[in-house]
Amino acid sequence: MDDEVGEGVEESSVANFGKRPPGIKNRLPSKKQKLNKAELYKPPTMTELASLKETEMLYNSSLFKLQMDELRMEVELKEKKKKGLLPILQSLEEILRKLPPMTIPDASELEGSLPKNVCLPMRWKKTQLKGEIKLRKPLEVKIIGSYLLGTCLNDPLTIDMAVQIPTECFQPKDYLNFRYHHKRALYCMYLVKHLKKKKDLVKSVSYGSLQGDHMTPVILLKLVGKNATVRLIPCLPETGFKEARFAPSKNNIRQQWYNQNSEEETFPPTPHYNFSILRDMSLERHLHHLYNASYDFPAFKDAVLLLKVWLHQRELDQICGGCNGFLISMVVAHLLDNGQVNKVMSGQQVVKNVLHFIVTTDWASKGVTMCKSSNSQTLPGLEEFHQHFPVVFVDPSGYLNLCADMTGTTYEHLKHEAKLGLDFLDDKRIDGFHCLFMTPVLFTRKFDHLFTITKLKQLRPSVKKFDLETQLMDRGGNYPRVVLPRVEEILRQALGDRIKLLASGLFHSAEWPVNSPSPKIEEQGPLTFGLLLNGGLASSVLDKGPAANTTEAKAFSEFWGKKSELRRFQDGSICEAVVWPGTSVAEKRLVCSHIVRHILHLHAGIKPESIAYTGGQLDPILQQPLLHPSSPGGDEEPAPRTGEEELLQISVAYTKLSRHLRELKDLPLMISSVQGTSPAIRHTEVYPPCAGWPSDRLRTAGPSVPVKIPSNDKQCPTWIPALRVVCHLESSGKWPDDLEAIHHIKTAFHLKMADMLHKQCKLVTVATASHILAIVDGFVFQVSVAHRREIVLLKEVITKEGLSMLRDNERSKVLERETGHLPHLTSLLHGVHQHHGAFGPTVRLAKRWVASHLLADHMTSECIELLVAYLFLHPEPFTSPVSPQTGILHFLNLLCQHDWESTPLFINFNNDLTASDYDEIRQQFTNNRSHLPVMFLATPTDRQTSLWTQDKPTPMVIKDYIFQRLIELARESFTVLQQQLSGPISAEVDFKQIFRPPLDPYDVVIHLRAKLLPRRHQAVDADPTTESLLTLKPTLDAKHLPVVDFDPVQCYLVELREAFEDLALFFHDTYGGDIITVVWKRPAFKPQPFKPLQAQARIPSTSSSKVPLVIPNIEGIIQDFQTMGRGLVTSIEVRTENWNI
Amino acid sequence: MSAHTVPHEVGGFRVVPVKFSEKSSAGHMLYYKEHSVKESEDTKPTDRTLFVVNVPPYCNEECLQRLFGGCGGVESVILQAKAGKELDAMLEEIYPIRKTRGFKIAYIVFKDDSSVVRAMKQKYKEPFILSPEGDSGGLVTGYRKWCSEYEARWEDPKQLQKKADDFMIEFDKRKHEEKEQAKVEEGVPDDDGWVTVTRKSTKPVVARSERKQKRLQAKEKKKREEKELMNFYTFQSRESKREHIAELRMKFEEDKQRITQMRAARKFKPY
Repeated sequence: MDDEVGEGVEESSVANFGKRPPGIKNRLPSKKQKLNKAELYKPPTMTELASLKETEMLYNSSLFKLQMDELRMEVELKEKKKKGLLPILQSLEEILRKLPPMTIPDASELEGSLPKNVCLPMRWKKTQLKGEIKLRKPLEVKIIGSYLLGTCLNDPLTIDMAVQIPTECFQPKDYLNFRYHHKRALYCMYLVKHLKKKKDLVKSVSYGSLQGDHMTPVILLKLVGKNATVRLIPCLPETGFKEARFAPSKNNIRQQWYNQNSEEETFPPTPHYNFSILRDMSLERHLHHLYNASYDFPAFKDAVLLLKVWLHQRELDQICGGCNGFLISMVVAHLLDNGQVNKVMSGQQVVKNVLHFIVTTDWASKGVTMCKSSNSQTLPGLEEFHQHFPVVFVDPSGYLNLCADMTGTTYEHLKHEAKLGLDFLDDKRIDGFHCLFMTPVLFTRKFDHLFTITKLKQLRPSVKKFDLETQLMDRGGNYPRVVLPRVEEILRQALGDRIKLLASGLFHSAEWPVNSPSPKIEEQGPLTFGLLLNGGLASSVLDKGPAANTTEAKAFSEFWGKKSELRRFQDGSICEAVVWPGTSVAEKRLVCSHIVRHILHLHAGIKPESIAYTGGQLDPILQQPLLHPSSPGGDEEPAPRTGEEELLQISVAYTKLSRHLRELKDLPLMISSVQGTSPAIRHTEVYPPCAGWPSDRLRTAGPSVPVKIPSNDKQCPTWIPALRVVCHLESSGKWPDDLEAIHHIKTAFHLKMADMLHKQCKLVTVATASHILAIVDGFVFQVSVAHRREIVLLKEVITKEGLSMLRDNERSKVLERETGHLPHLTSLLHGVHQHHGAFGPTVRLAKRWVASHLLADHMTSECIELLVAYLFLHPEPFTSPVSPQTGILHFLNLLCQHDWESTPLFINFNNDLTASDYDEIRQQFTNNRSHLPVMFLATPTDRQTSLWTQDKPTPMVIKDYIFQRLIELARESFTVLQQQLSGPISAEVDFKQIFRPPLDPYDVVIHLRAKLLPRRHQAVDADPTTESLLTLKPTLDAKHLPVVDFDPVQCYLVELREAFEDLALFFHDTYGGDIITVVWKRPAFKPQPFKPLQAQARIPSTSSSKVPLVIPNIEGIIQDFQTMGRGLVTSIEVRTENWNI
Repeated sequence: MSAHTVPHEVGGFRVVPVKFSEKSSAGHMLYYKEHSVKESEDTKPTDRTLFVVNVPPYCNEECLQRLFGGCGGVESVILQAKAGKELDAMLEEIYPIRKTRGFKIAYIVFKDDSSVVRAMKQKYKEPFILSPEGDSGGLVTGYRKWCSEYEARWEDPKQLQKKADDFMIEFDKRKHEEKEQAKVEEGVPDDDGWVTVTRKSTKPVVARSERKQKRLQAKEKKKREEKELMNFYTFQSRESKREHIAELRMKFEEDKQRITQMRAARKFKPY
């Protein structure tokens, strides 16, 4: 990730656009140093041959290996830094070894004997500690963990140091009833008291916890002058207590004492309590085990480093009970013991084997043990572990479950990621390296829906509800973690097939200062759940249960509570069923949120309003105030619709029209194909038209032309776009070989077809020379006949020798795009939408975003659609988004993260491109880079030209200007949106923020009259209540064609661009923007010698030079803005004073 | 821009300031001189034509006629987007791509050649008003203009039909005549004694096109390749092995270069 993304960028920093952001410069390939021939053909040495062969066989390309090496070098701890740290760590050890003793005279009266400004890192209500407690210098201080193994990450650098509490501090049986934990906390306090004074070594001292376990606090020391943290872990010597006492089913907390009552003692097992003591005893032994494994095994280090990066990018190491670097190292060690990995393997192979191992084993049902001891009598069996832990991975001692804290859900999440990882490595077309290691797969980006339980305190009562009192004792009162597995189970049952993956994350509570008490249980990091939805099923509004009056039905209705009711189905059966609200497509997408809220309230007592659900926050952007409610007469407020219903209606109308066209009788030539080309037909129109239009009193063009004409300059007619359709006719030899003749024949066809559609199908139609306009179900379609020979004739050039050649020219390109490529693309994209329901809405959000930033005219709509199609066809390392919100987040990220300069973007429809095609296209791309568009999109049918980005975004005068702005805006919007989505969702968060353009970079702002903006209701902040226009009733039975495709702003923009193309750039929000902004093209403002053919809008400069110079006539141009936009322009705001730049 | 700072001449061109209306705070400057080209067109005779550049988008023929009418009788005013001959007028009508709504170029054809001389001596103090107020010839711009443009899109279907029919009748007639003509000329040697062979001849020819030539070449190449034996001689197989290693080396070297570039762009910082 680029540095800039991490920074909190303010909107205002967009101001400095025009400057290249750092890092984009110098990306052009430096001059290629080719190997000379002698070097290329010299006889190979054996080692070289071997290494070349190896890279060819083991890796997809040598690039992968080189990339991995680079990454490893980037993340590993540098020798130099290690050397610098050595003296500091030594003196720290020295200090710890010489700590003066301390004695607490009476443990029952702690308050008085605690040092000032140092709190205990643990809260307890009661303790068994009594009498004098001696705190002595540590028995042993040792650096352990990844720092020693060489597998630690450079940033953030954490060095683990085990501090063994001496035996003098303990009394026999201290393992009981939290006595050990309480003493350990006192010991922490003792260490802190002394370390706080060492200001020369330690910058700051704070408390933290070991993997979020509040029972085992640790001390975090920030070192002076180094970007490193030392984590002091108070622990026990290996022989501190007897291991067998801590087998999972042993009891070490006495219920009588814990509950302060005199019930009969039952000795329930305390597996987690046992685990926390056992872990403190095993630190050193685990280190030894890993050290042995890594000995003489160079790839061990590589693999662990890579896997750690992999886990970190997926946030799996940051959640409680996640998979941290230690666990993954143990997995590698286990594979080595098992022979699934050997010491000559390369790092990549080890990574692949680890992923494979995670995918193929099931630790939730058949646990893995690293223990080789055959002493099965004393050791607890795997079944015993499975009884007490959801996930089992036993350490070499046979007593400790390394996955004790992991929940089933987190394990599934890990497995899911490993599975994806393997797939990426196998597919040669994907940049596996980038997917696995370089892309952050955060919860907010990975999951379609997220929800956070904000007030953890309300989980407390559910402990009783779920009958988990003994488990609560085992966990030392940490109720969120006791309840979590049950909550997960309920959610999984409730959501069933609707989701592909449920993930939960209780993020580690961060560190806290030593002078404040440790955070309360409910102050733990947010509890977040992620849902990966199952496209087709997630939005179903019905959960059908078993048939009535069966035992299953009873269980079903108990599970769903009052929501469950008996329903009669079409096949006659009567079943229990649950129905969720879903009148609109957008509402259906949020069915899961209703389920989650209902079920958590019912079973866990969590208030629905305290669940912050992220899913449909951006939907309001797609809603436009209804021109007319679809249900006439209903008093009910119609559910807000996001235009998806209209798009479906359009599809139906389009199908109807194409049937009509095909069934036309007595047409001289048959219609061979009918293809739509408008975005609305492929579900990607931001604001599709509604059926019908408000009635108006406009006059018509004439008695024979039933067309309404805009004339009233008080108010512009409503925006009604015509939906484009292209017809091809069956081939015939009778077409003339003359363009003019073809044109007239086409006109005749249009006239004839319009007449027939009117007579045979009773449609309102109007024909013009170039097309037919027809009204179907309240939508206006524009049908035009295309003839393939036309393109050829336009292209044909005859040389002097009489050889006919086909050469592209501007006209042929336009025609080919409109009648050939666009219909094809429309069907491809329509196909993508059929597979991925979120495709359409995502494109629409993306287009809205581009338009909001006034860039819609500088990027083709097809380009945006292809970019979004890429996200759905090639989502790696994610999965195809199911919610538009995740989609737009990925879109913004794609814009700012993709390396446009040096890599083409492949949109592989139907997987028609093979790996070798990829290579070929890449090769061509590199060779011709300078002639190709800034954004290069390759599809199976358009491999070399990048048709849809050819002209835009690339203004001629200032190269990359608009493109850079696009990228920068995307970067900032991405940062803002990600923050908004990951933060607590509340009503105050303004999700429209990223849709409001910053205006500071513009030189001139032209304000437009609202009444003449036909799309003003589509503006981001449009106020629906003040629009008188929207209250008019629709007229579906129209006899006249309404005013179509008439947007005065677009007319104005065309004129402005044609007149001042070489002097200025114009920006406008297509969807209801009430301003046009202008940026002067700086280079054009230098005084230039007078040339008659380049004197447009220029006046003689006053400077006295020999050659007459001219400069742009700014006053005249501004006056022209006013003149040319008469009626539309209200005022012109000139923002920069200095013209001569 | 006050009038007295306006020079009367720039680079051989006369300067005339113009303004849209009385109310306009600023205007443009038209530059003109005698029309002179090597190959003159009949419609723009060099001796009595003025060449005007920087004509604002809203300025029409009528305005220019008024502006230069003072120098003598104007025969015609031709407005063009680009200088020189207008090419492909027919194509432009059917497939419009050319931009015609920006600044233009005008040719003023006077009735008399003395008018040109007079125009070249003319000095303009005050900006000329293109759209005088109260006059019926006021220029329509902005919203009203777009409305009328919208209206102009629609044509009476009957007229449209007639236009198409008329053209086709004319076209068919022309084609028929050409055909007849060709029939007459068929097999008749020209002045040098050559007989032109056409598709309709008794011995028809294949139309010459680039695509067909390329296809032919590809076919021949394929044929040649099929004949050649691969890895038949020892030297051939040795050669191919050598090539393979060289290729691997080359790839490795390329990859190394790519990595260097990526490193320079700090591509390896995972987070």
